[in-house]
Amino acid sequence: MTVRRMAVCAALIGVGLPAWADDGERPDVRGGVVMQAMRDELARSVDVLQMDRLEKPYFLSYRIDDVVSSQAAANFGALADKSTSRNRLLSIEVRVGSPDLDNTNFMPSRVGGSPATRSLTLPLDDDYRELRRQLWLHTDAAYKYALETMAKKRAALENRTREELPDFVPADAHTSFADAVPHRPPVEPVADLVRTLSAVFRDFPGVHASQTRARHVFTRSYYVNSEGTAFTQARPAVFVEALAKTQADDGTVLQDFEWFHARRWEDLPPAETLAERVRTMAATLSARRTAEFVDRYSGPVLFEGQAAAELFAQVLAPKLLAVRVPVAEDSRMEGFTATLRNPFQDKIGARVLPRGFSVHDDPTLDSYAGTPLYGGYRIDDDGIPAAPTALIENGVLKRLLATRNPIEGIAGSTGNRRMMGVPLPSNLLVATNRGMSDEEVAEEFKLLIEERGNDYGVVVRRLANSMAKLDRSDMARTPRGEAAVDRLTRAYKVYPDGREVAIRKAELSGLSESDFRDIVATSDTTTNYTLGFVPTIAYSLAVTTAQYGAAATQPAMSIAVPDLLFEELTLRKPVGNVPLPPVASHPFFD
Amino acid sequence: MMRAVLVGIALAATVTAAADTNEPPVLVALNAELARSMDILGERPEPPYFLSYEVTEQDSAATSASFGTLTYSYQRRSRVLDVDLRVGDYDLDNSRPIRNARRPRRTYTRVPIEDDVDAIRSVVWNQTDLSYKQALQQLTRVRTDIEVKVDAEDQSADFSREQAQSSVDTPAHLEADLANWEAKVRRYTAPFSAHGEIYRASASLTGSTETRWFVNSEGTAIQTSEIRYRLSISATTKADDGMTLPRYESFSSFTLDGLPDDETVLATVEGMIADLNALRDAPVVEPYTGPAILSGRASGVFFHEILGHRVEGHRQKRVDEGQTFKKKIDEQILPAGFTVSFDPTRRTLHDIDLVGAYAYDNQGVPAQRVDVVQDGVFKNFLMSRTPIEGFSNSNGHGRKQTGYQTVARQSNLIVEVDDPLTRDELKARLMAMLEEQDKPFGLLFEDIQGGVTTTGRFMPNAFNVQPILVYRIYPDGREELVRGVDLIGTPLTTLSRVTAADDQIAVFNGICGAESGGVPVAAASPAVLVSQIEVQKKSKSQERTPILPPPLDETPGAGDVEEAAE
Repeated sequence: MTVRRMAVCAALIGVGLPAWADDGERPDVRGGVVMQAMRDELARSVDVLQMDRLEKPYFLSYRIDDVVSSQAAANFGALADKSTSRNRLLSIEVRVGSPDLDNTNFMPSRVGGSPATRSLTLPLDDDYRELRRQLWLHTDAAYKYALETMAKKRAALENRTREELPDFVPADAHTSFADAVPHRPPVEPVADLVRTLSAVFRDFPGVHASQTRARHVFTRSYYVNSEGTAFTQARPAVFVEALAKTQADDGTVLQDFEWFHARRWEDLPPAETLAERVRTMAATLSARRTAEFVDRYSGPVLFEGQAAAELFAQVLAPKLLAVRVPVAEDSRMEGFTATLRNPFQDKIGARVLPRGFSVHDDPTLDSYAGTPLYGGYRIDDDGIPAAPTALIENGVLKRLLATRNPIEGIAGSTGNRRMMGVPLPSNLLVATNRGMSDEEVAEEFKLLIEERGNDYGVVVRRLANSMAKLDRSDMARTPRGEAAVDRLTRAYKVYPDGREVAIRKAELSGLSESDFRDIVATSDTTTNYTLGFVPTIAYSLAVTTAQYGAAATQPAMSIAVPDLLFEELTLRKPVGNVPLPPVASHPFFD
Repeated sequence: MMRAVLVGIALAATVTAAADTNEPPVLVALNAELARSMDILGERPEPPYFLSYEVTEQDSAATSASFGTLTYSYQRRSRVLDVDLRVGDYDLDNSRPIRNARRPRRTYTRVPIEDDVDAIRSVVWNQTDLSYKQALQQLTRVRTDIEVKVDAEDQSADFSREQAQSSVDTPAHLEADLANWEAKVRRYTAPFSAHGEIYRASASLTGSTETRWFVNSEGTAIQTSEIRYRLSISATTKADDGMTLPRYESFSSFTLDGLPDDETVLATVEGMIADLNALRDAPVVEPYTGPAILSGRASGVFFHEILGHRVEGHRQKRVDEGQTFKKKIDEQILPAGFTVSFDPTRRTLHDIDLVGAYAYDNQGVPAQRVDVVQDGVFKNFLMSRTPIEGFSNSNGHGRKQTGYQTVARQSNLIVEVDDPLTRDELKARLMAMLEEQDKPFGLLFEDIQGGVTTTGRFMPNAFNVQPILVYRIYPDGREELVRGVDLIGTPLTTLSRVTAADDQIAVFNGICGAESGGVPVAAASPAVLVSQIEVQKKSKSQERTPILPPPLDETPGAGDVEEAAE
């Protein structure tokens, strides 16, 4: 049996650049005029902001994200979009009351238009006076909103008991400034790349629709809070994706994708290398049009490369987050908030993975096993310095990722606040001390197949991700950011003699986090994969934070996972009706 | 059989492309895919009887500033495809609205912005296939609807027959010196920054070339190209009672030179600042009914809402529409001497460009002037290719925003009167009315921000015009700025109270939103005197003014001192 690693980020090996690459200029290391305006208005607000006889804020923070980007999209060798943009977004946190009881962790009965998701844009010029004016006006609005929320929360607690948990954990002051000035990334290379990559599809009559997109972005964040913390942080990022879609003759809709990440444009592999990867994807997708179905299968399943990482990210990673169940304004909301509780909160000290497994979150790393990680930062969005956290040791759950919002049994922040309603992982590293070579894994797989008396086993090399979709129709069942894990994009029957036969489309049936305890073998190498990771719950809970104004970017997570062999999982042919195939054939190939 | 068809199409496409090498590439792509689709789909049991493609390119540049500092600046090009594929026949097709069903949602299909015929065709092919399948499904629903519901009151056909058109306009090119534009919007908004009680102030300068390529299976092939520039300035203050008080000014033109010079704009800005300061202290008007003068811009919007939206042809057919004027042909609805026309062929009026001008509508029908009211008598409707009883053809008013389904929409509304009064005479008439009606004051609506109306049957058939500057006119002629009211009413009653107009025609250029999206329209009118109007309280923010004073005189570093002191 030949098991080829299809690691999504394998092509990005090389160039061990420092995590926070500097582009040379540093005229305003401490944040310049922007930071000055933030500090000054913060000081004034902390000092004198108070409405009549109501309480003053006990905590105030400002964050400004300066985002400059160039992006382009192409179809079939021609540009569909090309643009550059620059934005400056403000996010404020105002807390009134006290750390024991403040305006957060409260779910109002009307959640529409939460200020946590509203964009507050600031002028792009470094104009002190104007920045002050905008900070003043937005702080005023945020403070009033905080007072109203506090009043509602107090009212809701009049006739109810409350968990004896504080709403906020105090933290020491930290300062950290060492960042690049964002510059406007040139758009032409971005346009040229997507044009080149999208032209690959001209060689594939089997692909009906495709799109290639790329974005080159610099984000510089400025942060200051009333505890004395102040920092600036820069995040250069490059993201390229190729999405493709087709239909088999029976109408089955098939999609596939290829993602590339880099920190700097010049770290991307050469266009020819990327094009080759897109070509492989297009060829694989085309071949699936005539591949066979598996009606139903129960037996050993081996997840390799991206599939193992995606599986872990979608099923297990959301369970590693400390989710604070908010106080509900009324009983209707209470029904909803009760569903938010993370069952892993009760599993601390219990086995959640096989012996030998460990899982760490480490925002301080910029590479792992020789390949880059993209989820890191130096200081989190609560002002807590980044540090590694051991989450699972020897298969036993040790703790959950947390922010300064405490939950029962989890003391203190792990430095994983990333401007969302829940803590989020940075770089999630999964390792085992029982890793096997690829040959040993294959041998183990073969033994399991034989032991079970099956004709074949199933290996999965690509799982769908709900963000990688060309249009919404095929993913309509999947809410934003939620698991699309039941859709196997690339799966193969593997016979004991090593022969592989592609499966057209299959779904996993009823997989849950408890199945991870039945992993029987893992590889000794890991696949390093990066994805936008924001569980739906993070949006639901955004309104329960003190946040006023949306953050600029959705956080990315890098995850390193070995290949995972499950003793028994169930696969089935997708159920439901499929659209008819196109009446006319593609004009270019006609 | 299938093979023969495909070869034939490939040849046809080649011939089309070779026949006229100067044909714009987008038209080449659209025509090739049109021919191929009609051929291949023509073999199906339920073939399309009509197919049209429209690609709309927006090449736009925009800059905006707030209080003298830049807020955005960009240049961007996009192309969007719209497909109108019809199965059935002209009398009955998939476009017929299902009674009491939801209106179709917007679909948005991006097309390559480069002139790559193959890439464009690949997108068009995909979208044609989807449109065909949807059309089949919809036709089945339409046929069922006819069977299960009562006979429709209006038995007219679903689609009109129109002449094929052929026209290739020269592509227009946007002049956008972004650095210069950025400097301008900064300069225009800088004067606001000295005023701490003005909480929002922004100016945006945008230019956009809209190039459209339209082809249909009846032989129409059109390329049109038009540039529009717009400067908008807005500023907002707040009264102590929480009422948000805005002031807007905007200028539109087909040329960059047509926009006002810096001096004029800065004078406008100073005027806005003065108005805002005055508005903050202006008294609040209580709900009231009495005579009023609507300035030219206000009455333009007033006619747009109460008359314009009710003469859009398709509304006379939908069973959920009010159909106010459906049976009013040849009836007197305004005083003798009043003419209301919609004229998309008219590009300027008194040196002001009219943004509702175009050469062809979104169904490839040439623009036409339509006199809706002549000498006070109702005469005509605005028509797309959806016929109504007694009006079987389009008059070039089928319009939409990209992604929506075309319906009849307004263009340039122009109100004219035969024997206008002067402004003073108009005011004197109002003062006389005050005495007749024994009213303490009348109202003057000097400027408005826009308006809304409902034309359906479920909700009351009312309109609301939102004024920004309103004055009380007292019996002695004195004028006093007031705030806090919207002008409301119902169409037939209010139109019957229009009594006279002056000779000062003003233009309101704006974007009109309706079920087919936002389209640029103009409304031009003299000031009119209405013997009785009604005003209601404006919806009001409950937010207080800011707690702290504006930090405008503070010097950098104050925060550092505070921090050191802690």
